[in-house]
Amino acid sequence: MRDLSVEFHTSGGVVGAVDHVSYEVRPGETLAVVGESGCGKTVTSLAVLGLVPQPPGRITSGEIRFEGEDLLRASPRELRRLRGSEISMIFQDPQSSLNPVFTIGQQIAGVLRAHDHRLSAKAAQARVVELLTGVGIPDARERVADYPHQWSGGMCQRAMIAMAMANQPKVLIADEPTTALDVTIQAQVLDVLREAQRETGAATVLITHDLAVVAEMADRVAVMYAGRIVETGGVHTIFHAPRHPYTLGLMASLPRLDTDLRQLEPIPGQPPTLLRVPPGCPFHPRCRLRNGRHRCVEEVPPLVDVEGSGRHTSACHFWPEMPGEVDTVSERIGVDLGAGLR
Amino acid sequence: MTTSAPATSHALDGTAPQRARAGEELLRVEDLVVHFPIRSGPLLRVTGQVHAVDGVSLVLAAGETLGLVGESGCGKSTLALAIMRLLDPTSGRIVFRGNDISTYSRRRLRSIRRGIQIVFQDPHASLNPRMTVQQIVGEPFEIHRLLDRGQRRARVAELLELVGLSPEHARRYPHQFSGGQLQRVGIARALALDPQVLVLDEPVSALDVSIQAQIITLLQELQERLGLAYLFISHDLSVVRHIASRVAVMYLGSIVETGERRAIYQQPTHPYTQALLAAVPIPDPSRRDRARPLASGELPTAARPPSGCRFRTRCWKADDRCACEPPELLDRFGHGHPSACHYAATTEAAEG
Repeated sequence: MRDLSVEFHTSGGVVGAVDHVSYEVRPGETLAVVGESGCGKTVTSLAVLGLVPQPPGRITSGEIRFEGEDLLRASPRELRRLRGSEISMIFQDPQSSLNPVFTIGQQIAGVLRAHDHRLSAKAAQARVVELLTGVGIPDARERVADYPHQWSGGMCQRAMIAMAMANQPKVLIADEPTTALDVTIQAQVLDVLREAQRETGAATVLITHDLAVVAEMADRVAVMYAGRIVETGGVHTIFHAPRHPYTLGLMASLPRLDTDLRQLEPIPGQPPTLLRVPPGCPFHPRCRLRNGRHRCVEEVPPLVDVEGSGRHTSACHFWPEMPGEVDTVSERIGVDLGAGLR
Repeated sequence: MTTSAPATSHALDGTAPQRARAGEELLRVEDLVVHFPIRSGPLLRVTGQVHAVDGVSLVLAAGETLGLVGESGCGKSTLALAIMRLLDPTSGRIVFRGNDISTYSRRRLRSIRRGIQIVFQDPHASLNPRMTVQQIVGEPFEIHRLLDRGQRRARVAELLELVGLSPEHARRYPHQFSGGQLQRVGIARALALDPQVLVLDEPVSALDVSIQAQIITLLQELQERLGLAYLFISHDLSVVRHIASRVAVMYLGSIVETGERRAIYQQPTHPYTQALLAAVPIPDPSRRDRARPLASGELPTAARPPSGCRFRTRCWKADDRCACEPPELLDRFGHGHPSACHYAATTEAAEG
């Protein structure tokens, strides 16, 4: 994905939901796109599948290349062929993503047969049972005839994963796949997702607001704020040596299960509405690193390489002033932030 | 925080209850049961009972935070509503400052409600969208016939500052606020009558992480300044570890383990607590490969809970004894840290 911008025309004005976003993901790799509500992470992924409603939405720039082909210029027919076979998606709420009037088995078989017209009903049925067993549904043979309302949220999400993986996709987009689930079920579903990805080797884009899920699942991370990517890097780099004050602020806001923190260091203020994104760096009104400097208000910081390798980028004018190694496991994070950023 | 002097130490009128001393017992729940009837058939006869809360006991002292954790459907919100008497308990006692309020009439409850207030998860749903913030936060004074108009206005301004808003916000309506700001309004309303106990039912679960941290920090500051006791209900074990001094873990209507925060998080002895802690993702990629016992299967329905121990259908330790004999919540090791498991034991994996 290169330089993608998406606008929405609303009664309140033009909303720049996605602003010049670029990322790439390779086979077998998991890229986590992380950010708070309204940062544009979901719209970005809808664009990949050609699912941005137009109007009110409008893609104003960019290209999305899949195996060399630009998806933004592909015909609707071509997109239909790719969706569900080469590129598939898992949504947050499985119970509303599944069709309530068809059985689970019919829906998964439908996906299989839509992309392989020669597949017999019987063979499809056998494959569905195999897929559901693969995602840990007990007694799959009996349960294929159930309707979605007969299944719990966790089981429906397993069915969604089975459906998404049915045609061995090359790209999997998972949008908040476990947000609606309880924690013990979330752990089970993440295991299933990890296993399914390992089997198919799909390039995965995991969209989430949950940094802990990112730490468990991702190889690389892109942090979004107000429609832009503000930092990208390997998962260890992002968690232990972030080079953008927003990323560090998120880490310091997190209550921890694994340690007693003296206190949280919340990011002050509110996230901007996309109708009125602050000029310059969109994070400047909440930033502790800014120290009243005008450059942050006047100049939009570009995403720059901070390591020389191209693997770690930050959109902060003053990234070299960030504290070095951040030990997020200990209580020291509060101290580091105080010393480094005040 | 930009707030000024503590705003609640003054009495609202001559009848305001005296403040509790730190450590004094404020709230005691004894063997509380809430069952909901299941009605079915053409005559809607009662054909069963949902055992939403099944024999819960707990104690809350002045100035402390008791964290109540559990997954959806475990009965934690029903318990909150029953404690507030917004639901009628089937049996059991709720004792607030020495008075058994479980059988109080609505009229008598009014005096108790000055001492114990609740904050809900979603302020957009729990605050009236047609009222201004002045009306929302000032309404308790109206209900209790306290203060004249000018005093109410001044008190609302004071409360808004206390929760980190400005007095100008009083003229606005709920839709003009973000979720985090509106939750501050909900907290201001709950504090209006100068309560000693706040029941907080998932107060930060609907918020983004940066805003969640602001509200948690606000709650901690308010507790310190006003000496409030919190019953903090949440599904988020990380948040509870941060805010609670004691923790109770609920599963399918019952408390399965309770103790000091460190005991629960570092030496859990109930398999459900262990599985719950192991399932929580940790925001540190270098700890990805830690060993984790996972609870298998799903939560059974509270309409037909399993016999014996309710967790046995998902437990790796369960045997015949667990199927017949419900385990009691007992302090098996004498550590002041009771656990409702026949085979309670600490594990190596659950270190802190």
